[in-house]
Amino acid sequence: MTTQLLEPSQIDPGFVPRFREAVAAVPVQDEAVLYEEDTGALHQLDVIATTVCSFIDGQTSIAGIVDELAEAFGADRGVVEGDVLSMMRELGDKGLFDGVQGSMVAAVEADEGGDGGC
Amino acid sequence: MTAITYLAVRRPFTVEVADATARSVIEAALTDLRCTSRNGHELAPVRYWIQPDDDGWYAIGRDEATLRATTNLEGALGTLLWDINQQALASAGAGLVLHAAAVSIDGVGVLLPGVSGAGKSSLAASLVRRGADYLSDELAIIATETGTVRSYPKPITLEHGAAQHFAEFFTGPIDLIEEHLAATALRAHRMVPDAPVRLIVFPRFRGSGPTRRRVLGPADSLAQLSANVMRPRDASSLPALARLVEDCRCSVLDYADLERAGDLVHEALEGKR
Repeated sequence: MTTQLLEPSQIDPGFVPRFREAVAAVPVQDEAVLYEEDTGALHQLDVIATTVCSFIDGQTSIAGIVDELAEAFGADRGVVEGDVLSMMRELGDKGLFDGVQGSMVAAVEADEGGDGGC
Repeated sequence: MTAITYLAVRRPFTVEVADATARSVIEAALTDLRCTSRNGHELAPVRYWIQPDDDGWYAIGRDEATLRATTNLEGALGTLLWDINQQALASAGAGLVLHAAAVSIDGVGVLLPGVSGAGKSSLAASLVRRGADYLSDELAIIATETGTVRSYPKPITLEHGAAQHFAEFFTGPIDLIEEHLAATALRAHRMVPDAPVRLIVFPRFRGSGPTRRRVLGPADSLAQLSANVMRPRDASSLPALARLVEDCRCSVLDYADLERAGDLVHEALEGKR
Protein backbone atom coordinates (compact mmCIF):
# COMPACT_ATOMS: atom_id res chain seq x y z
CA MET A 1 0.00 0.00 0.00
CA THR A 2 1.37 3.41 -0.93
CA THR A 3 0.88 6.24 1.53
CA GLN A 4 -0.35 9.42 -0.12
CA LEU A 5 1.91 12.34 0.73
CA LEU A 6 0.28 15.58 1.77
CA GLU A 7 0.95 18.84 0.04
CA PRO A 8 2.20 21.40 2.59
CA SER A 9 -0.93 23.46 1.99
CA GLN A 10 -3.01 20.48 3.11
CA ILE A 11 -1.53 20.58 6.60
CA ASP A 12 -4.44 21.43 8.89
CA PRO A 13 -5.04 21.52 12.65
CA GLY A 14 -5.66 17.78 12.71
CA PHE A 15 -2.23 16.98 11.27
CA VAL A 16 0.22 15.32 13.65
CA PRO A 17 3.69 16.66 12.80
CA ARG A 18 6.61 14.31 13.13
CA PHE A 19 10.12 15.07 11.94
CA ARG A 20 11.68 12.67 9.47
CA GLU A 21 14.11 10.27 11.06
CA ALA A 22 17.01 12.01 9.29
CA VAL A 23 16.17 15.35 10.92
CA ALA A 24 18.01 16.21 14.12
CA ALA A 25 17.57 19.29 16.28
CA VAL A 26 20.71 20.91 17.67
CA PRO A 27 19.97 23.38 20.47
CA VAL A 28 22.08 26.49 20.76
CA GLN A 29 21.25 28.85 23.60
CA ASP A 30 17.50 29.52 23.32
CA GLU A 31 17.42 28.75 19.61
CA ALA A 32 18.11 25.68 17.52
CA VAL A 33 18.99 24.44 14.07
CA LEU A 34 17.41 21.50 12.32
CA TYR A 35 19.94 19.36 10.50
CA GLU A 36 18.99 16.94 7.72
CA GLU A 37 21.50 14.13 7.94
CA ASP A 38 20.67 12.81 4.47
CA THR A 39 21.05 16.12 2.64
CA GLY A 40 23.35 18.04 4.96
CA ALA A 41 20.96 20.99 4.95
CA LEU A 42 20.59 23.24 7.98
CA HIS A 43 17.53 25.25 8.95
CA GLN A 44 17.74 27.94 11.57
CA LEU A 45 14.98 28.29 14.15
CA ASP A 46 14.52 31.51 16.06
CA VAL A 47 13.35 31.57 19.67
CA ILE A 48 9.65 31.33 18.82
CA ALA A 49 10.11 28.61 16.21
CA THR A 50 12.30 26.67 18.65
CA THR A 51 9.59 26.88 21.28
CA VAL A 52 6.92 25.68 18.87
CA CYS A 53 9.12 22.85 17.63
CA SER A 54 9.74 21.71 21.19
CA PHE A 55 6.06 20.68 21.26
CA ILE A 56 6.45 18.37 18.27
CA ASP A 57 6.49 14.88 19.75
CA GLY A 58 5.02 12.84 16.90
CA GLN A 59 1.79 12.29 18.85
CA THR A 60 0.27 15.71 19.40
CA SER A 61 -1.75 17.29 16.61
CA ILE A 62 -1.28 20.88 15.58
CA ALA A 63 -4.55 21.69 17.34
CA GLY A 64 -3.15 20.16 20.52
CA ILE A 65 0.10 22.12 20.16
CA VAL A 66 -1.88 25.32 19.65
CA ASP A 67 -3.89 24.62 22.82
CA GLU A 68 -0.72 24.14 24.85
CA LEU A 69 0.96 27.24 23.43
CA ALA A 70 -2.10 29.44 23.90
CA GLU A 71 -2.43 28.32 27.49
CA ALA A 72 1.29 28.55 28.27
CA PHE A 73 1.62 32.07 26.91
CA GLY A 74 -1.88 33.39 27.57
CA ALA A 75 -2.24 34.20 23.89
CA ASP A 76 -5.28 34.39 21.64
CA ARG A 77 -5.88 30.89 20.33
CA GLY A 78 -6.94 32.02 16.88
CA VAL A 79 -3.79 34.07 16.39
CA VAL A 80 -1.61 31.23 17.67
CA GLU A 81 -3.28 28.74 15.36
CA GLY A 82 -2.71 30.92 12.30
CA ASP A 83 0.97 31.41 13.14
CA VAL A 84 1.59 27.75 13.98
CA LEU A 85 -0.17 26.50 10.86
CA SER A 86 1.87 28.83 8.72
CA MET A 87 5.07 27.66 10.33
CA MET A 88 4.17 23.97 10.04
CA ARG A 89 3.40 24.37 6.35
CA GLU A 90 6.75 26.06 5.87
CA LEU A 91 8.54 23.20 7.64
CA GLY A 92 6.53 20.74 5.58
CA ASP A 93 7.48 22.55 2.41
CA LYS A 94 11.13 22.07 3.36
CA GLY A 95 10.58 18.33 3.48
CA LEU A 96 11.21 18.00 7.19
CA PHE A 97 8.04 16.07 8.13
CA ASP A 98 7.05 12.49 7.57
CA GLY A 99 4.10 12.26 5.22
CA VAL A 100 4.51 15.69 3.63
CA GLN A 101 5.84 16.33 0.16
CA GLY A 102 8.48 19.05 0.39
CA SER A 103 9.10 21.29 -2.56
CA MET A 104 11.86 23.65 -1.49
CA VAL A 105 15.47 22.92 -2.26
CA ALA A 106 17.07 22.86 1.14
CA ALA A 107 20.01 25.15 1.59
CA VAL A 108 21.91 26.73 4.40
CA GLU A 109 20.75 30.30 4.55
CA ALA A 110 24.05 31.26 6.06
CA ASP A 111 25.07 34.04 3.74
CA GLU A 112 22.32 36.42 4.70
CA GLY A 113 21.85 34.98 8.14
CA GLY A 114 18.50 33.35 7.37
CA ASP A 115 15.08 34.83 7.89
CA GLY A 116 14.99 34.26 11.60
CA GLY A 117 12.17 31.80 11.27
CA CYS A 118 11.97 28.23 10.13
CA MET B 1 74.86 25.00 7.41
CA THR B 2 72.24 23.75 9.86
CA ALA B 3 68.75 23.69 8.40
CA ILE B 4 66.15 25.77 10.20
CA THR B 5 63.51 23.64 11.87
CA TYR B 6 59.94 24.87 11.71
CA LEU B 7 56.86 23.54 13.40
CA ALA B 8 53.45 22.98 11.80
CA VAL B 9 51.42 22.58 15.01
CA ARG B 10 53.23 19.45 16.20
CA ARG B 11 55.04 18.40 13.06
CA PRO B 12 58.60 19.68 12.60
CA PHE B 13 59.83 20.36 9.10
CA THR B 14 62.76 21.83 7.26
CA VAL B 15 62.91 23.53 3.88
CA GLU B 16 65.95 23.38 1.61
CA VAL B 17 66.01 25.92 -1.19
CA ALA B 18 68.87 26.00 -3.63
CA ASP B 19 68.20 29.49 -4.96
CA ALA B 20 69.30 32.22 -2.52
CA THR B 21 66.62 34.77 -3.46
CA ALA B 22 63.86 32.21 -3.24
CA ARG B 23 65.27 30.99 0.07
CA SER B 24 65.14 34.48 1.56
CA VAL B 25 61.49 34.87 0.50
CA ILE B 26 60.51 31.51 1.98
CA GLU B 27 62.44 31.91 5.21
CA ALA B 28 60.90 35.34 5.73
CA ALA B 29 57.40 33.94 5.17
CA LEU B 30 57.92 31.01 7.54
CA THR B 31 59.77 32.82 10.28
CA ASP B 32 56.90 32.70 12.81
CA LEU B 33 56.82 28.92 12.49
CA ARG B 34 60.42 28.56 13.62
CA CYS B 35 60.74 25.93 16.26
CA THR B 36 61.81 27.68 19.44
CA SER B 37 61.49 24.85 21.91
CA ARG B 38 61.91 21.11 21.91
CA ASN B 39 58.19 20.63 21.29
CA GLY B 40 57.76 18.39 18.31
CA HIS B 41 61.38 17.28 18.24
CA GLU B 42 60.33 13.78 19.18
CA LEU B 43 59.13 13.46 15.57
CA ALA B 44 61.48 13.29 12.63
CA PRO B 45 61.22 16.48 10.61
CA VAL B 46 59.57 16.41 7.23
CA ARG B 47 62.14 17.58 4.71
CA TYR B 48 60.88 19.88 1.98
CA TRP B 49 63.07 20.94 -0.88
CA ILE B 50 62.72 23.38 -3.76
CA GLN B 51 65.07 22.98 -6.67
CA PRO B 52 65.24 25.29 -9.72
CA ASP B 53 66.55 23.86 -12.96
CA ASP B 54 68.33 25.46 -15.89
CA ASP B 55 65.08 25.97 -17.79
CA GLY B 56 63.58 28.13 -15.06
CA TRP B 57 61.32 25.47 -13.62
CA TYR B 58 61.02 24.78 -9.93
CA ALA B 59 60.57 21.31 -8.56
CA ILE B 60 59.21 21.01 -5.04
CA GLY B 61 59.30 17.84 -3.01
CA ARG B 62 58.74 16.32 0.37
CA ASP B 63 61.41 13.87 1.48
CA GLU B 64 62.01 11.61 -1.51
CA ALA B 65 58.85 12.49 -3.43
CA THR B 66 58.41 15.26 -5.95
CA LEU B 67 55.14 17.07 -5.20
CA ARG B 68 55.06 19.36 -8.18
CA ALA B 69 57.10 20.99 -10.89
CA THR B 70 56.12 24.52 -11.78
CA THR B 71 57.31 27.32 -13.99
CA ASN B 72 57.50 29.83 -11.17
CA LEU B 73 58.34 30.20 -7.52
CA GLU B 74 54.81 31.35 -6.82
CA GLY B 75 53.49 27.90 -7.65
CA ALA B 76 56.22 26.19 -5.66
CA LEU B 77 55.52 28.36 -2.63
CA GLY B 78 51.79 27.72 -2.90
CA THR B 79 52.40 23.98 -3.02
CA LEU B 80 54.78 24.19 -0.07
CA LEU B 81 52.31 26.10 2.09
CA TRP B 82 49.45 23.82 1.12
CA ASP B 83 51.42 20.75 2.09
CA ILE B 84 52.59 22.33 5.35
CA ASN B 85 48.93 22.92 6.18
CA GLN B 86 48.23 19.24 5.62
CA GLN B 87 51.04 18.35 8.00
CA ALA B 88 49.63 20.77 10.55
CA LEU B 89 46.14 19.31 10.25
CA ALA B 90 47.42 15.75 10.52
CA SER B 91 49.50 16.55 13.58
CA ALA B 92 46.69 18.42 15.33
CA GLY B 93 44.76 15.21 15.81
CA ALA B 94 41.06 15.22 16.47
CA GLY B 95 39.40 18.58 16.70
CA LEU B 96 37.41 21.09 14.83
CA VAL B 97 39.00 22.88 11.89
CA LEU B 98 37.37 26.01 10.55
CA HIS B 99 38.09 28.07 7.49
CA ALA B 100 39.01 31.13 9.53
CA ALA B 101 41.69 33.51 10.65
CA ALA B 102 42.28 33.98 14.36
CA VAL B 103 43.94 36.53 16.59
CA SER B 104 44.13 37.11 20.30
CA ILE B 105 43.39 40.50 21.81
CA ASP B 106 44.42 40.79 25.45
CA GLY B 107 44.25 37.02 25.73
CA VAL B 108 40.79 36.73 24.20
CA GLY B 109 40.53 34.63 21.07
CA VAL B 110 38.83 36.30 18.11
CA LEU B 111 37.76 34.04 15.28
CA LEU B 112 37.25 35.44 11.76
CA PRO B 113 35.59 32.70 9.69
CA GLY B 114 34.90 33.14 6.02
CA VAL B 115 35.35 31.81 2.55
CA SER B 116 38.20 32.94 0.30
CA GLY B 117 37.77 36.58 -0.55
CA ALA B 118 35.73 37.38 2.55
CA GLY B 119 38.52 39.59 3.82
CA LYS B 120 39.50 37.59 6.88
CA SER B 121 43.24 37.69 6.20
CA SER B 122 43.30 41.43 5.60
CA LEU B 123 41.27 42.02 8.74
CA ALA B 124 43.51 39.73 10.78
CA ALA B 125 46.61 41.48 9.44
CA SER B 126 45.11 44.86 10.25
CA LEU B 127 44.26 43.75 13.79
CA VAL B 128 47.79 42.41 14.29
CA ARG B 129 49.25 45.68 13.09
CA ARG B 130 47.21 47.56 15.69
CA GLY B 131 48.20 45.27 18.56
CA ALA B 132 46.49 41.89 18.36
CA ASP B 133 48.55 38.73 18.74
CA TYR B 134 48.46 36.45 15.75
CA LEU B 135 47.15 32.90 16.01
CA SER B 136 46.38 31.62 12.52
CA ASP B 137 45.09 32.35 9.04
CA GLU B 138 42.95 30.38 6.60
CA LEU B 139 42.50 27.50 8.99
CA ALA B 140 41.76 27.65 12.68
CA ILE B 141 42.17 24.50 14.72
CA ILE B 142 39.81 24.43 17.69
CA ALA B 143 40.26 22.16 20.68
CA THR B 144 36.63 21.26 21.24
CA GLU B 145 37.00 20.26 24.89
CA THR B 146 38.34 23.68 25.85
CA GLY B 147 36.96 25.93 23.10
CA THR B 148 40.45 27.28 22.45
CA VAL B 149 41.96 28.10 19.10
CA ARG B 150 45.39 26.63 18.58
CA SER B 151 48.37 28.77 17.70
CA TYR B 152 49.53 27.97 14.18
CA PRO B 153 51.30 31.14 13.01
CA LYS B 154 51.56 30.28 9.34
CA PRO B 155 52.14 33.19 6.97
CA ILE B 156 49.15 35.44 6.39
CA THR B 157 48.16 35.27 2.74
CA LEU B 158 47.28 38.68 1.40
CA GLU B 159 45.95 39.01 -2.10
CA HIS B 160 46.80 41.94 -4.29
CA GLY B 161 43.45 43.48 -3.50
CA ALA B 162 44.88 44.20 -0.06
CA ALA B 163 47.98 45.91 -1.45
CA GLN B 164 46.64 49.40 -0.83
CA HIS B 165 46.63 48.69 2.90
CA PHE B 166 49.89 46.78 3.05
CA ALA B 167 51.81 48.35 0.16
CA GLU B 168 55.16 48.12 1.91
CA PHE B 169 54.96 44.32 1.78
CA PHE B 170 54.23 44.05 -1.92
CA THR B 171 57.70 45.17 -2.97
CA GLY B 172 59.68 41.99 -2.40
CA PRO B 173 62.46 40.67 -4.61
CA ILE B 174 60.00 38.36 -6.33
CA ASP B 175 56.71 39.56 -7.77
CA LEU B 176 54.10 37.32 -6.20
CA ILE B 177 50.38 37.30 -6.95
CA GLU B 178 49.74 36.73 -3.28
CA GLU B 179 51.97 37.91 -0.51
CA HIS B 180 52.68 35.37 2.21
CA LEU B 181 53.51 37.50 5.16
CA ALA B 182 54.84 36.57 8.57
CA ALA B 183 52.72 38.27 11.23
CA THR B 184 55.85 39.55 12.93
CA ALA B 185 56.65 41.52 9.78
CA LEU B 186 53.47 43.49 10.45
CA ARG B 187 54.37 44.11 14.06
CA ALA B 188 57.11 42.55 16.14
CA HIS B 189 55.46 40.43 18.80
CA ARG B 190 55.85 37.10 20.49
CA MET B 191 53.71 34.24 19.33
CA VAL B 192 51.10 33.50 21.97
CA PRO B 193 49.82 30.10 23.02
CA ASP B 194 46.29 28.93 22.38
CA ALA B 195 43.50 31.35 23.30
CA PRO B 196 39.89 30.76 24.38
CA VAL B 197 37.50 31.89 21.65
CA ARG B 198 35.07 34.49 22.96
CA LEU B 199 34.33 36.57 19.89
CA ILE B 200 33.38 35.39 16.41
CA VAL B 201 33.18 37.92 13.60
CA PHE B 202 32.21 36.85 10.09
CA PRO B 203 33.95 39.39 7.81
CA ARG B 204 32.40 40.21 4.46
CA PHE B 205 34.58 42.50 2.42
CA ARG B 206 32.38 44.54 0.09
CA GLY B 207 34.79 46.91 -1.65
CA SER B 208 32.32 49.76 -1.23
CA GLY B 209 29.41 50.74 0.95
CA PRO B 210 29.10 51.20 4.69
CA THR B 211 31.23 49.35 7.19
CA ARG B 212 28.94 47.99 9.86
CA ARG B 213 28.58 45.15 12.29
CA ARG B 214 25.38 43.22 12.93
CA VAL B 215 24.92 40.94 15.91
CA LEU B 216 23.89 37.42 14.96
CA GLY B 217 21.49 35.23 16.88
CA PRO B 218 22.71 31.85 18.06
CA ALA B 219 21.02 29.74 15.36
CA ASP B 220 22.27 32.02 12.60
CA SER B 221 25.74 31.93 14.14
CA LEU B 222 25.70 28.16 14.25
CA ALA B 223 24.61 27.95 10.62
CA GLN B 224 27.28 30.41 9.52
CA LEU B 225 29.97 28.57 11.45
CA SER B 226 28.80 25.28 10.02
CA ALA B 227 29.27 26.67 6.52
CA ASN B 228 32.95 27.25 7.34
CA VAL B 229 33.82 23.87 8.80
CA MET B 230 36.72 22.14 7.09
CA ARG B 231 36.78 19.13 9.39
CA PRO B 232 34.84 17.08 10.33
CA ARG B 233 32.49 17.61 7.42
CA ASP B 234 29.47 15.94 8.95
CA ALA B 235 26.92 16.51 11.68
CA SER B 236 29.35 15.51 14.41
CA SER B 237 30.74 19.05 14.40
CA LEU B 238 27.41 20.65 15.30
CA PRO B 239 27.40 20.09 19.07
CA ALA B 240 30.95 21.45 19.32
CA LEU B 241 29.98 24.44 17.17
CA ALA B 242 26.95 25.02 19.37
CA ARG B 243 29.14 25.08 22.48
CA LEU B 244 31.47 27.52 20.77
CA VAL B 245 28.55 29.81 19.90
CA GLU B 246 27.28 29.63 23.48
CA ASP B 247 30.63 30.94 24.73
CA CYS B 248 30.88 33.73 22.20
CA ARG B 249 29.39 36.91 20.93
CA CYS B 250 28.87 36.52 17.18
CA SER B 251 28.38 39.09 14.47
CA VAL B 252 28.66 39.75 10.77
CA LEU B 253 30.95 42.55 9.71
CA ASP B 254 30.34 44.06 6.29
CA TYR B 255 33.31 46.21 5.49
CA ALA B 256 34.92 48.39 2.91
CA ASP B 257 36.96 50.45 5.38
CA LEU B 258 39.59 48.24 7.00
CA GLU B 259 40.44 50.64 9.82
CA ARG B 260 36.79 51.09 10.73
CA ALA B 261 36.34 47.32 10.60
CA GLY B 262 39.13 46.97 13.16
CA ASP B 263 37.42 49.56 15.36
CA LEU B 264 34.21 47.54 15.23
CA VAL B 265 35.98 44.33 16.21
CA HIS B 266 37.42 46.12 19.25
CA GLU B 267 34.02 47.53 20.08
CA ALA B 268 32.52 44.06 19.92
CA LEU B 269 35.23 42.84 22.23
CA GLU B 270 34.51 45.63 24.70
CA GLY B 271 30.93 44.45 24.80
CA LYS B 272 32.10 40.95 25.54
CA ARG B 273 34.27 41.94 28.50
